[in-house]
Amino acid sequence: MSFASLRETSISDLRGVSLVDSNAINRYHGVAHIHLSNQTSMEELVFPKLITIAYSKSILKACHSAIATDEEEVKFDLSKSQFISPFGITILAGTISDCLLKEKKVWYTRPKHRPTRNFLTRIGFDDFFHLKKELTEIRESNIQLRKLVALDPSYTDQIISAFSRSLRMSEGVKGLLKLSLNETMSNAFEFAQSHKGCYVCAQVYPNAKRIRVCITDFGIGIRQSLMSSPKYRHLHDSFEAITLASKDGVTSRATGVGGKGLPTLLQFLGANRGRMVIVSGDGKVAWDFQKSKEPKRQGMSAEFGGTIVSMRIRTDARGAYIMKGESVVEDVF
Amino acid sequence: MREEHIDIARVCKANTVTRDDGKVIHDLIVKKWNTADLIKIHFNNILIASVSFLDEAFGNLAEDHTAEEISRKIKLVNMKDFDRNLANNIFRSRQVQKQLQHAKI
Repeated sequence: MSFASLRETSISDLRGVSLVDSNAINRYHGVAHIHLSNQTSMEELVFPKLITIAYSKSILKACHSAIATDEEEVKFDLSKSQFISPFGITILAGTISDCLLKEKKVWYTRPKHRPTRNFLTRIGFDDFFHLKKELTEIRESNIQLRKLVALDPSYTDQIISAFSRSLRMSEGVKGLLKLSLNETMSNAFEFAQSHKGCYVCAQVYPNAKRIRVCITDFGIGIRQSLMSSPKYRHLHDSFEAITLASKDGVTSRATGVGGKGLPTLLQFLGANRGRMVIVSGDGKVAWDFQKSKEPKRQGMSAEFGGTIVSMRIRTDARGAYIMKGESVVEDVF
Repeated sequence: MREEHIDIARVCKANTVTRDDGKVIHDLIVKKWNTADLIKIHFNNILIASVSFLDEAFGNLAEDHTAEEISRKIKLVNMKDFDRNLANNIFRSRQVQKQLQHAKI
């Protein structure tokens, strides 16, 4: 099923995402099967209060279960959710899309928490699945959820523009961030072999003085991607692959050009004392520069077949971000 | 001295991201190479910030020409410093790659 055909879906349409009354059927916490009166079985996923990268282990396990299940119907119950980060948005959008591609009937329960419901509308989640029921003001601080099947420079410009409203940055830093975001997003098309594109969204939190950005692709993951190059066939596990991909110049491109996206973003986050979490395969690596320069590793009980890059940028610094001295090697151009 | 001009904004419009976009510029440079003494490429301060575009447009020139030839023949006008540094980095990477290939032979 293509996204375009969702335009015609309604609650009674068996092929679309349907809204459901949160009290209509009994629910279980966590991943559970329930049986409806018409004998149709359903995979029901009740999402927690906080859908953030901190709970990636259980959330990704649930999403994996939704995609892998043999049940014909899947319900995404967000009624209890009160905070959903860009990580949550992209992973939900990708998982629901995957379920629809597999021609499952998908049910969706909105959060009961009104601010969260409004946030999902503002960030474009409702529009994405044509669930628009109520008009909510679209604020500039939102970079709406997008599915990218090719690089869209104007979308990257929007993200940089949102950054610029909260951070003082030189033109060089803006360019560097644009390059890095473009590189990271293009990984989904060039290397991840993802036919599903990648899902991106960002949110500025003015009160918390934070920006969160998440780029999620449902491709082959960093390890498989790097191992396509003879240079990196030795990679043993996802941790090693993620750590290697964060180093400057590491790319599976045959030309050897590139590999600047993740290391540059990490360099920026280091200066910003922000945070980056990368989930790929069965590995999760987190850099929290406010606490330590050393990354922390966490194993994932359910393997995630793609790559998630989640960033948290601090906007409370008073200074400006500028680039250090330029290259001293003789220039050609 | 015969000068040729390529206006990025006019030729590419907003398409300055992909390898295909960069190839359009590369092909124009190749076409003008033998007939022009100087090829001026006008960026009008547009920020490109794409490795793919710059590699395809300029990095590929390292295959057939030396740095001296390119410096003499090509002038990038009103190019953002960021893009100029990126183009130089890409060109140097291409040169290193070429040297490695020759070393293998």
